[in-house]
Amino acid sequence: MALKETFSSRWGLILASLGMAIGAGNLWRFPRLAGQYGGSFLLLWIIFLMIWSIPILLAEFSIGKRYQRGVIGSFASLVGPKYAWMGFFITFCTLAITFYYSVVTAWGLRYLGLALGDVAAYWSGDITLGEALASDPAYLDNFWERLSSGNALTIGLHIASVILGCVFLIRGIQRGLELANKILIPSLFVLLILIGVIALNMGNGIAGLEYMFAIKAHHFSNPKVWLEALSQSAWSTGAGWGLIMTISSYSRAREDVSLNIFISGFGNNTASIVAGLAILPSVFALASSEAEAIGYLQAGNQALTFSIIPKLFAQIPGGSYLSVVFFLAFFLAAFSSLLAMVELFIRNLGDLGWTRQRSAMSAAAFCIIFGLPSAWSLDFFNNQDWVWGIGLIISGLFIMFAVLRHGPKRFKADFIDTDSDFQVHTGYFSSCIMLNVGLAIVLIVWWMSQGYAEYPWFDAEGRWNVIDVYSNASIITQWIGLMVLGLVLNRWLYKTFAVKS
Amino acid sequence: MSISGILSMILILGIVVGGFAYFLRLAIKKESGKE
Repeated sequence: MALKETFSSRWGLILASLGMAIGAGNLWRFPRLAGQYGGSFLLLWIIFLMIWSIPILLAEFSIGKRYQRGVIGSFASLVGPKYAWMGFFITFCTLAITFYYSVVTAWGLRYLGLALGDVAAYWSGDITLGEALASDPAYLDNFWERLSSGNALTIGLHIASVILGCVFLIRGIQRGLELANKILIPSLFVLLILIGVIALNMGNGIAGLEYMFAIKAHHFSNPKVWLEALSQSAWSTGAGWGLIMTISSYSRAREDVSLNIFISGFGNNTASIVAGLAILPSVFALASSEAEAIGYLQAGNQALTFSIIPKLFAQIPGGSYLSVVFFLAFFLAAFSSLLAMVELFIRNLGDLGWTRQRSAMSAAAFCIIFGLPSAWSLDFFNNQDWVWGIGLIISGLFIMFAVLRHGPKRFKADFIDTDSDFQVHTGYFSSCIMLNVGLAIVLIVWWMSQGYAEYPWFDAEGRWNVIDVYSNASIITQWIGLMVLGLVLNRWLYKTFAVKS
Repeated sequence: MSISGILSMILILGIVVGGFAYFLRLAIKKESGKE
């Protein structure tokens, strides 16, 4: 018996979709790329929203809405008994991300605590972060090193993040997921706009806008910019994750498909732009030179967020308050996505006939236990981010396979057009789905050829290099392991989860 | 900020934020029509 709940209104569903899409990536990845590649990157990112993200989200949303099951059940119901394992892969790929995503949420909480402590230190006359950095410039780097590996507090905050999520989700869709996002999403926008207004009024803040928006023609001839724009759109909108399929499985019977997806896609991109308007002017205003600011943007997601931004804010009067606002925004963004991810698991457990209470508590236990290695070891975290981040492109491929198997034209007529407030062009939908198969293959090959590992396939002794954070051998081994498990369980998955017509 | 930078900003904000506002307005109209 499936969980029989629905959102109270269209707005509840839209806010949940925005909460799902707007996450840490909007704050720690998008501004870095926008600052480095400017308006050229932004234009490509908008194009890939239309080519990659919107068609896949349309497909996912309409599948979940039709079958009213979790990802495994909805996917299996569409593709039939041979391919139920693909829905299993999509589910467990996103679940593997959930296991370490709660750690990102935990880091956000810890830095929020650090910023609040800095405010308290200022008023009590204790040593502030700015003073600590003046006597030890590496203070924040050391703080991050201690926090990200072998730290009991990080584990505690990881557990607290999952439990807090489940406190909301156990209450159901309307009183849980919907209510949480009604608070989280407007608050997030307000906080980011507040930082943006303050940052734009700082000395060199306007230079950040120039770097963010100026279109430079030479970037268009750089394939890396195209692939970064495609990756950002794919990861940030949640296309291929199975999350929007989960959310739409709680939609009301006559809920619109196309308009809700366009609101979700453009809403996510608007949140990214607002985050860029908050972070880039801050970095450019507070760095000692524009070259230094560019260097900061190239430092990586974790370094920018957890070392550079608090360091920059600590330099200015009242910067500790700005840090509080920033890390509160970061936590809210990460937490809103974490809720959708845990709900994906709850929905699948609910399809087994479990009550919401039992499903939510089991999901919490799973997320806590399997998130522990990432909470304890940054290397493990980075490995999982590498393996399952690229794995999401495989998940997207499986969604496209399902559409192509049904026939894109027929799929659009049968699934998308039936309840849409406006109809997307059939040629647009079909050609994007076909083009995306090629794009997905290019993306996977490109990411795997990045050369992050010294020995991508075999180590110096010629052994399969599976124990390496960034090796391709690690990716392939874990993907195949999950696929084999799905294939072994395939018959049971179909029998248990699919809707039989 | 350069003129080209300002024009690019208007173009990009127009597409993204304008698009979001347009679709939201469409949904508000659809919902009010249902009531």
